[in-house]
Amino acid sequence: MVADDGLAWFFKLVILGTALLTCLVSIRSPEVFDAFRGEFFVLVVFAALGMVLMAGAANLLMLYLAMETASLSSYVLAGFLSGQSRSAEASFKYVIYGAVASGVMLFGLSLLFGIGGTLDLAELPAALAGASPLAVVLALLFVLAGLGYKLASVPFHMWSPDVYEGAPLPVTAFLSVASKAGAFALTLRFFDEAFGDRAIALATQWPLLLALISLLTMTIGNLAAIGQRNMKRLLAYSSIAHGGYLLMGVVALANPAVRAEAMAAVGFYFVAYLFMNLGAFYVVQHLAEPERLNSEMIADYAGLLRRSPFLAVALSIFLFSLIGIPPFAGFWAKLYLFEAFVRAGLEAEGIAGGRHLWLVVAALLNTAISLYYYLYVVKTMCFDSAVEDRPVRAHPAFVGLMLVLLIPTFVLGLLWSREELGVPVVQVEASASLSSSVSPTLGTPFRR
Amino acid sequence: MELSGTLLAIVLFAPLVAFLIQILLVGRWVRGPRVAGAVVSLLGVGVPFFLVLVGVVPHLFEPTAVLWVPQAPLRWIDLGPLSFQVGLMVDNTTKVLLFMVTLVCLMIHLFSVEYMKVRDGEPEPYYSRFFAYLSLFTFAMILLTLSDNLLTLFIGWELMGLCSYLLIGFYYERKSAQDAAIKAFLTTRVGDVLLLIGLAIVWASVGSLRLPEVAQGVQAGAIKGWLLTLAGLFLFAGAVGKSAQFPLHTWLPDAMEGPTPVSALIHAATMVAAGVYLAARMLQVGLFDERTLLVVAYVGGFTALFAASIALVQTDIKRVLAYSTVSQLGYMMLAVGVGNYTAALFHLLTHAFFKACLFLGSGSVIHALHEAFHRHHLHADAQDMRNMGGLRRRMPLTFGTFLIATLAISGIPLTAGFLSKDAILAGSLAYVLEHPQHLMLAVFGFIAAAMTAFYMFRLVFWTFAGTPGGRALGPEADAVRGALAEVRESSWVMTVPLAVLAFFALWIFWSLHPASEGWIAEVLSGAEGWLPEAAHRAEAHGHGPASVHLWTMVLSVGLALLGVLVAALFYLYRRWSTERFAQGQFARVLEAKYGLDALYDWAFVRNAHRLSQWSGRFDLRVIDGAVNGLAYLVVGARHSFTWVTGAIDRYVVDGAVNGVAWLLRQLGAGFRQLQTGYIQGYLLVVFSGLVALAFLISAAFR
Repeated sequence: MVADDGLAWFFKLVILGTALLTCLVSIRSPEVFDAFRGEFFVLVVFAALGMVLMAGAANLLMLYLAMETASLSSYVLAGFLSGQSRSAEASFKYVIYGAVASGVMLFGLSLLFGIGGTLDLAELPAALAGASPLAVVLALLFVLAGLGYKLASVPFHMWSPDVYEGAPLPVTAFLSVASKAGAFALTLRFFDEAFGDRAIALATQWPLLLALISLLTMTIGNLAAIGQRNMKRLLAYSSIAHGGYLLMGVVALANPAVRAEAMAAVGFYFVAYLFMNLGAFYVVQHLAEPERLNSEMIADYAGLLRRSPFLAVALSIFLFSLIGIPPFAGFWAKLYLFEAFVRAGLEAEGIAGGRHLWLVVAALLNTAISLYYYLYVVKTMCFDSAVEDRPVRAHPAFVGLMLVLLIPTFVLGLLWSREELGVPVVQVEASASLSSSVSPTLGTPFRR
Repeated sequence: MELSGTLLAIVLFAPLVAFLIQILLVGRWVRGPRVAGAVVSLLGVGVPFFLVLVGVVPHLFEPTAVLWVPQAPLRWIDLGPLSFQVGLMVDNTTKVLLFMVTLVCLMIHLFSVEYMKVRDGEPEPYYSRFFAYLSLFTFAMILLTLSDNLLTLFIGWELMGLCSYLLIGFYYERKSAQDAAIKAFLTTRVGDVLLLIGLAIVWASVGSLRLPEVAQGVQAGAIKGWLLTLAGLFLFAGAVGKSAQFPLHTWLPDAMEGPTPVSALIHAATMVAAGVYLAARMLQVGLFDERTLLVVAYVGGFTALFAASIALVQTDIKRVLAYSTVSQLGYMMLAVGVGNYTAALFHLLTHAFFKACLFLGSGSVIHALHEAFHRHHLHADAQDMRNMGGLRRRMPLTFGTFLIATLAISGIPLTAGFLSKDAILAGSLAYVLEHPQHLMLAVFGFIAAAMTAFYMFRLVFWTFAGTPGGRALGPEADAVRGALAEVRESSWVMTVPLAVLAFFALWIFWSLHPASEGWIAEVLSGAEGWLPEAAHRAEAHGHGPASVHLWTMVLSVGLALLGVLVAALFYLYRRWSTERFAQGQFARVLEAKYGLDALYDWAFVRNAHRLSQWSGRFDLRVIDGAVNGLAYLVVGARHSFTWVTGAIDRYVVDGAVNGVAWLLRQLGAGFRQLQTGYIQGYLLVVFSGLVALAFLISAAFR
């Protein structure tokens, strides 16, 4: 039911790290603090449990249950500010949207079960071998509705800006990293085990479908981010766009020769993403506190460089990293990801989706587009004149937290070496060979 | 003390720590005595010097011992099949360079403590910033010397370029200083970009930038033929920019706008020599083939002569020294070009000491004059040699050390400069005897030697001999004479470095025998332990028969003495007058520096200005803030389109249309309109998206 391998562990670390940071930050968040109730932390832990299960789910049923566990806690977390209509609305939308998406997904899962007669991901390739490709790919599409909802990929993304804006900031940051990490681990495993087979990839052309979704997601995410006036919404759309880039890593799985590399690239992307995205969200949260700017609007950040050099520089660095400017971690993350994708294309022979080099071009153009809105924020902070001159002071504890996030953003890419630190690669390979002989505690052994 | 990785790490990172302390703490929170900044920097270079003295110098005579730190190089930036491996390496070349770099840096730091205290009569407001930059520079130079690979070498190289830029423009309120900083930065950038291309060629063909692996790769034929020549030429272009060789030499004389200690350290002793160091290393690993070496030799030889000729007519004391630096660097390149690795590095070392001494000596003079002129409220130029004269008696220590260094640079026996210059000239003479068709290489060297002696003694006679202010011109001439009579010798903080550097300009440190290359030849020409066997061809050249050495000595000393004699007849005894020469065409050509500066100004600077003004206007009209390359293109296309239709040009001019930025914003707005906030709308999108995709798939499978 649950796999115990490098992929799972790696993403579990990302999820648990994010959960830990979320708890730390929430202690001081006035949003949570004023309405302090112990269940906040319980909910974070339960949501993390669901996400951790998602990272390991190797069975269609487990996959669904894990997603529901994560979702139900997330709904409540999004509506945690019960007094605020914005928060309540976010939660309400989230519930309805999630219910519809998971319903469609359940439909797709039942189709897969009906065609193949098995719930085990590892047995699906054999079970689906003789089936009609059209039926399989339609079932896959329905499953994708659920996965796409969790990944916030187009056209299943529309809940995320509203929910991200309405939810308390620590929750938004948590959802944008941990929830996405769980969903990507799940998606990676799903496509790798159930659809990674060369024959199925050729027959169903799922890489093309995913490439298309990836293209739409990054483009629409980036375009919609332009012109956002609320920083939370901007980061929400930016998070959608990053999901689009990350899907390229899933597409690269179509070429078995680079699957380990693709997984490692997605894994590294998440590590980088954890630091830079959480960093950006936390700066926004800190600035939104009443004794500071008391605002999430970009216009109110004008002249921040003079009012609080530390926060302005920190936010600028996180944004630079999100753009993918060297030497920050975001650059290396993108580099590895694109490199894996290109190599998948170059080394693929006749594998569908492997040759979609146009997607890399699109991703690069998208990066150029993203420059616009990220740099607009930097420009506002650094070059526009402030409305008032009152200095904005960062809390000392927050400065410490920022350093914890800033330093990896600086040095991660420079220190990361696939041979020495490439946890996913090493362990995915190892578990692939081990799992057939040593049966992991919970999981059904899988073959590939 | 044992030569260990820890020791090297301290040597490398102490200046960086000093820099960080300075830039983050001292300038900001330490309000008290600003000397605190100087102390931090002094420690930042003093500790490395001490460690080099006790930990590296004793190991000089273990020629095969090469230390690698860490043992296996770090894989730094990992791109799958290709990766960058970095580490530190200490071989013989590095050992002697480390000694020179740390000692010269320490002396110049010490000198600056006093020299930089005052700016225009006020306490220097950016005292600690100056020392911060010096520390960063020291770190970069040590990084360059210790690197076992061309990647970190290049990083150090670029960091030095940055420090050079910052320090040339240190007196940023002066327009000339700003311009000089920009000129230096951009001119060297030309070389650096070419260097980067050269590195890329090497990396792509050898698969590594580590020196030992490059040496092996070249030997195994991973890169050969014209590609090797091309790579060599690109790499050499980097050295041309950094070492101010013809035709990229124009930035160095202008760089004299920086404070004098900076000129001494960066623009004479260390950074500009880094180009020679790079060229020498390339010679060692075999990246310079015969064709490249010939280019190197000719560029070097020609630069030596060319710069020396310009120095003949300069009146600014620092500019004379600057052109002489260019000329001496040309000598070193000439030595590399004829394959004489040892002589090139030997001259690099001796030159660092005596040129630093010359610059600091001129700094001492300028400092004293500045003070005197300031006291008398004069606006006379404290760097113009015509406002000097007769300083021999007023500043005896400065004069003595300056004279020793002058003798050294002129190549008079019993000095270090004699030994190293002789090695270079002997090498080129031996080369010419083997290849008579390249006779000019030796001719360049020997004529430049005579010129060097002439212009250096001209400088000494103008500055230190004669009567105070004897050549002063203009309405303030009398006042200048009065002020000069009150000039005092600088304090010990400035004269001690002068004495130390002058000591190393004497022969005794380098060789007991006043006419042989001494231990340095033994240390440097010993096979470096890490080079593959056959790569020692660099050592094959350059050591002609003993008779060549003898003839060189006779010729070079004769020419140098001739230069001194002529200078004395012109400027000391005034038997001959320079008037006829000064009014001739040739002098005008020389004063215009052969017109190269003007040519570059016309060809590049002014056109670049025009281009930037044009694009600036374009920017103003088109893009309100974000510089968007894409928008640039599309607006250009759109512009031509509207030109064809001749309709809505005004909208473009008014900046109403933002090209792609506008288009993207519109698209974004379109997508935002989908985001109504109504959940039923969202679900509609979900289902219509699903249906659309399902149709697409079904259509594809039909």
